[in-house]
Amino acid sequence: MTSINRRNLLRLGGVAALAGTAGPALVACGGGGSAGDVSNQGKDLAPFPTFVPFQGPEPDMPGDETGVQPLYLHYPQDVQSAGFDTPGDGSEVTISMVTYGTPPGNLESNQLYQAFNEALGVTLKLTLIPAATFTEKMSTMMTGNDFPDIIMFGGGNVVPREQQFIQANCHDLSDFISGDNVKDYPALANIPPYSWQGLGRIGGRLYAIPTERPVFGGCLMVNRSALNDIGVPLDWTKEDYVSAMAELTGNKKYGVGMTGDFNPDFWAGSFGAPNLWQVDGGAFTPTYATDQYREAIQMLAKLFSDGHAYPDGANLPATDMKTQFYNGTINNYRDGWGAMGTYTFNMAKGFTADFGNPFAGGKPWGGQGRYGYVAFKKADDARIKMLLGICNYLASPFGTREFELFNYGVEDAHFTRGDDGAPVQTELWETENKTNIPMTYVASAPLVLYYNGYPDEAERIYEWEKQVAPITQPDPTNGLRSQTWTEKGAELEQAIRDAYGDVIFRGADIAAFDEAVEGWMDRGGRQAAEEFQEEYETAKS
Amino acid sequence: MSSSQRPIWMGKPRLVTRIAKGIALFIVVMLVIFPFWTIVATSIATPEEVVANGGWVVIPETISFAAYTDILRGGVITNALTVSAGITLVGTATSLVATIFLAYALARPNVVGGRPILLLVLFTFLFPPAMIPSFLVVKETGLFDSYAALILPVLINVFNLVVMRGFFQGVPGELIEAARLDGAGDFRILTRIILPLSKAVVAVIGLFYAVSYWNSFFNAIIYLDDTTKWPIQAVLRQYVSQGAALADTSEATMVNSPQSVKMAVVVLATVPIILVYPFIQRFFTKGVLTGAIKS
Repeated sequence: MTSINRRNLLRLGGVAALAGTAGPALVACGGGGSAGDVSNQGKDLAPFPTFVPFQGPEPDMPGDETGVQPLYLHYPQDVQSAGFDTPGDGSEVTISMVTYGTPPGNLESNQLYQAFNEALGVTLKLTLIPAATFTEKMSTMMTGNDFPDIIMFGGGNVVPREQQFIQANCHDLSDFISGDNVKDYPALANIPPYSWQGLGRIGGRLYAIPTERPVFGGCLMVNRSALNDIGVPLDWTKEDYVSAMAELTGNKKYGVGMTGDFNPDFWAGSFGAPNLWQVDGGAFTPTYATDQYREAIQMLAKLFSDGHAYPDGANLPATDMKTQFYNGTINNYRDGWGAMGTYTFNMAKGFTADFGNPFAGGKPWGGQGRYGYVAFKKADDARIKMLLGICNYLASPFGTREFELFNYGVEDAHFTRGDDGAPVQTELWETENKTNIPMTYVASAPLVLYYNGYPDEAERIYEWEKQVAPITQPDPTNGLRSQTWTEKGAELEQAIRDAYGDVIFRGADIAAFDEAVEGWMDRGGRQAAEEFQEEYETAKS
Repeated sequence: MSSSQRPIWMGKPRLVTRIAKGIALFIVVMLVIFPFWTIVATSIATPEEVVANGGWVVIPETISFAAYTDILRGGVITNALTVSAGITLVGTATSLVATIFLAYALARPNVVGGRPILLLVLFTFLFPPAMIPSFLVVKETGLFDSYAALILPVLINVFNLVVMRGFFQGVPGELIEAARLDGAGDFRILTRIILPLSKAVVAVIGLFYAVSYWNSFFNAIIYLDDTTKWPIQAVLRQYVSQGAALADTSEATMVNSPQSVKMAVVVLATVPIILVYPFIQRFFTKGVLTGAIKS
């Protein structure tokens, strides 16, 4: 009878251990290219694309260079074509991109997909990658050495050795879009500088096109009606905030909602902590080591221990905390800038949703100025120009026919026009929409402030932006490369999240957080700081 | 033995004990049923009621099947259910056949190469292949973007194989000897002697495979670019997780699925496999335990 004795099992274990060490090495090779030098030190830097604002419909209030968005109280009445030629040559174009939506079903009978193909003059072949498995799918795709024409990265995900992969396998776009060259693609020239700078260069060259997002980082979503009821002013101090949270707690209602994986960036910025890194004389130190950051964490811990925060927050997904906000159980929670919109206004029954101002003296943290970006597989110049033309078409500005197609669909099929000329989605949009064919993640126009049916709320958010944008501090590492941070950043940040979670939710002493920060420095934070410092000096030069 | 000499556990339980047992069982049953009932109740509640109750409804005030109507519109869910049913049926059948054949071979004494093959199989049990090597095999063998990619890489589960092999080894050798003396070959011995005596383990292992195929979603996302080939669990994941932990800051992605829609998808994805359990349950204990404890 075939049997296994102890010796055989040990032998098997030995072979397996060898295989186990080979496994990670193989994954590390994932990227299909050489481990090139992605830093910008000592390289000739390709100039960032020249910013040429697109002259679209006149906004009610203009945007500005600090990052305030143009405000449209109502939908533009005279929607015109952007005037771009059909970019495609009839070929098949493969694209991989993130999706938050459900599968779009059979694309052959999908009117939206067919309209996209017709407008772009190509046959799109889409690989839709669920956000939750984006990193894994991208890793396999990159290792398989068979990637699409247009590859989308980002969306909050960092793929291992992302920049090295791009440098080795993607087309250098510098000659097409750097400096004034970008003027051949007017919609790409309309992407503001902070987006390009946030994306940065790889080895001194431009490899990608960003999908713009406003400069704002984490925001405090507040129930303004409840704050007004107890007389809390728009401009407030941290003391106002703490006492308001106490006053709002009671009758199964709570001041603030914090989930286990929440980000305390709003409060940290409001306490004046630097945005992730403090740059002093060129030297980088982490915000976690600053007194302001520690004080913000201690304040949140006190709110929780005093019962002024939602008690089960640590175990709640972010979406469930939103529900607690919509139904009035909590007064405020932290969310991204984009969480404010018509959906929120619709859901917030019986109260007005608003952004909370940073506390007096605060320095709100900015974001990356982009959602993600696309790079192109290496190809001949003619094809690269066509792919750029496709991105240019997709980035057609708000108020153009092209924008309508990719954001609202086909008129009379996916939307009709309301009395004010604004698109009103039809039932078909429930199954054919931009969430399940998310071409806007490939390239898109800079966002504007327009909330269909909520002009008053839009005006208030515009005022908030006017106040916050000038004092928003960008992350000084935006666009800079650090090999250590690329490799260890996610792990290091998780350790910090665990540490402040222990302080806020589980009553740990702030000394435990300090200890975690020390460990963070030792395990790669210090090395990353040095690398960022070198890159920072190169970028300045 | 008189009743007074019986050990306490053999005596007739007192009324209080029976009531206590009943309460304990009721609590256990409720712990199982309550979450599922909440899912069903939330799926048939209106979105407004779900929000007002903080995301979950136990007793809906207004019953609405709008969530089910929504998700069945467009054919994505029905298509995914069909795909899952097909993968589960074909996968379970092929996995069972492959497992039975290999288990039988490895259960027989003196099979040429039996020991190395067994070690090879156990090696994958201890150290399953990582994602990227598996992906490369699927890609290079031309399985990528085909239904076969969901079945062939996971055709034989080693745990199931070991259980079945153990069960086969428990069949008395005299029976096989007698069959062989009557002129039966291995195939006939397997189909006429072993399998009829192994219905329990085959049923249980079949259920294990079926549940595994039904629940599988990760391989579909990694191996299938064509989303029309996605099984229900991959689609379900999109419904349930979309809107969660969104990194985006554009309004487009803020349209979360209402909780009632998410729960309706959970119900649709769970009910078919739950319906299989009652038919297999009687084999469960016998099948797994017998297979597991044989040397």
